[in-house]
Amino acid sequence: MEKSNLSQFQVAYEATVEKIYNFVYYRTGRSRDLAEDLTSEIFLKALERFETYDQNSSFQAWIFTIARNHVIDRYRTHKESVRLDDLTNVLSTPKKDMNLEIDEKETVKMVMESIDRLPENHREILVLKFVNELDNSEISRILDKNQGAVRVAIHRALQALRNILDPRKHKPS
Amino acid sequence: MKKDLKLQLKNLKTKPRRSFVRQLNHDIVRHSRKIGYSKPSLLSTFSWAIKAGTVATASVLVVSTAYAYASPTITRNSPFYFVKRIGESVELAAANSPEKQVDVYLRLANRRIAELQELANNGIIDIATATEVKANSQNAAVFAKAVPENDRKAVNKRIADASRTNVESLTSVSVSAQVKSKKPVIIVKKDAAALATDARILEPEKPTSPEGSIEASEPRNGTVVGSELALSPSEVKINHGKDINIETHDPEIEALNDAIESSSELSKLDTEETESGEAVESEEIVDTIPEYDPERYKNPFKTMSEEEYANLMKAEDEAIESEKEASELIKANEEAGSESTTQSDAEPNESSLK
Repeated sequence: MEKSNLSQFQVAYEATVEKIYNFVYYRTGRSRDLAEDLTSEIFLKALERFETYDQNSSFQAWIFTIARNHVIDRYRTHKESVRLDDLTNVLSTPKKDMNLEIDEKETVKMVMESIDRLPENHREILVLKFVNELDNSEISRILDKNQGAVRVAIHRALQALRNILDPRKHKPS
Repeated sequence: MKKDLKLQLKNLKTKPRRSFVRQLNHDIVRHSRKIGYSKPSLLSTFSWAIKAGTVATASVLVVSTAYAYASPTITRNSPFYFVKRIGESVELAAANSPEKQVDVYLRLANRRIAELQELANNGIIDIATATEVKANSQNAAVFAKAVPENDRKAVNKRIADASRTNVESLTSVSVSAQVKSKKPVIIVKKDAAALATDARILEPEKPTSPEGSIEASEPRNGTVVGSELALSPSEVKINHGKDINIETHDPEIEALNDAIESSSELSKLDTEETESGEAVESEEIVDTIPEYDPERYKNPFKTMSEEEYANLMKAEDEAIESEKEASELIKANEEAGSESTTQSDAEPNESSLK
């Protein structure tokens, strides 16, 4: 890749920065500051590796793979000080009275908090699929799974989310 | 419910803070320079606009090139003429064999003739275009020599056929150009009887008229005034026993005549004696085309000044007179010679009888 292709990187960066931020935001238990730090690191790392990017493949899948690996590396490196699941569990603890009137805003918040309580793999795939609206083929490339496995994983993640939202209706058989 | 949940998930999108995005943009640019990327230029920032502009410009160019290329109305004095020339350069560059080059040059010659006709209709005789007809025809003949021997005969025939057509077209252009351009005419004071028909060219091969008269080989719109005939100077030959061609010193007509002459030579290229290419004046590719002179087109109806015309007339009268004297002298010498020859022939006979 020639060095003169910075403009190409900028175009791709502008198209994906929000998605990467969302992905990292939910992966880090909705910590805005942490998501910003990680997003910034991801794009700078991608810039350094842009020469290795194959232009015939999806930039989105490529940058999400970098993002995912970066988040994993980050928590692997800092596992003694910060544990992702611990962090998300803390952040996702329901703080609101569920009897309050549920308006739309509250529903979003409830879903958000329920996602935080999901296992990491479920949360990741739901964010990729529904928040970032990636298609199954891109998700399969990012997670290094085949598309059938991705479909099953999405189904299970949704089931798990429903169980959290309404445990009475979705009791495990 | 399933759909509701998916919709709710989609609504979870959050936007990063603007300050963060700004900072990240800045960090990316700074980091890119650090690792060796060049500063993004305005060109790349507006690359989409440049691409759109390029496509639009290319479309306009393609359409205008096609029009300019095909239209004989786009002549040397047209602002779009350069487009035509660019197209022709491409056409020449794409011709990858001598045979194709021959065809391209023949096409170019044909195109120049169409332009000459268009210019002539507007009263303009363009030396550069006329010279180019000759150059293109000569170039076709030069490249024909490089064609493999098996195909050369067919190529030479193509050149000869095209040249015959070119002679006809150029002659027609020459006539209409001279009429339209209102060039000065020479007043020929000769036998009124011979002026009954409008005259054009006096053919040396057809000296049927009496000495001192002029002969018309083709009708022509000359102006008969009493016993005088007004003709375009380039077209007049006067029969004084020997044909005298009045030199016109008119570069425009001369350029046209040159082109006619060259095409006429090349039209013999398919005959046996010229098949080897003797009709080609030069082995060199002719690329010296006279430059377009905008001054020429400021006054397309440019004519000779009265003084120039008077000088020309005087020179022509002197030439005619001197030719006449020379002719009489030759005739007198011939008569004297024949008399002395008769005498000398008779003498030996007498002596032999003795």
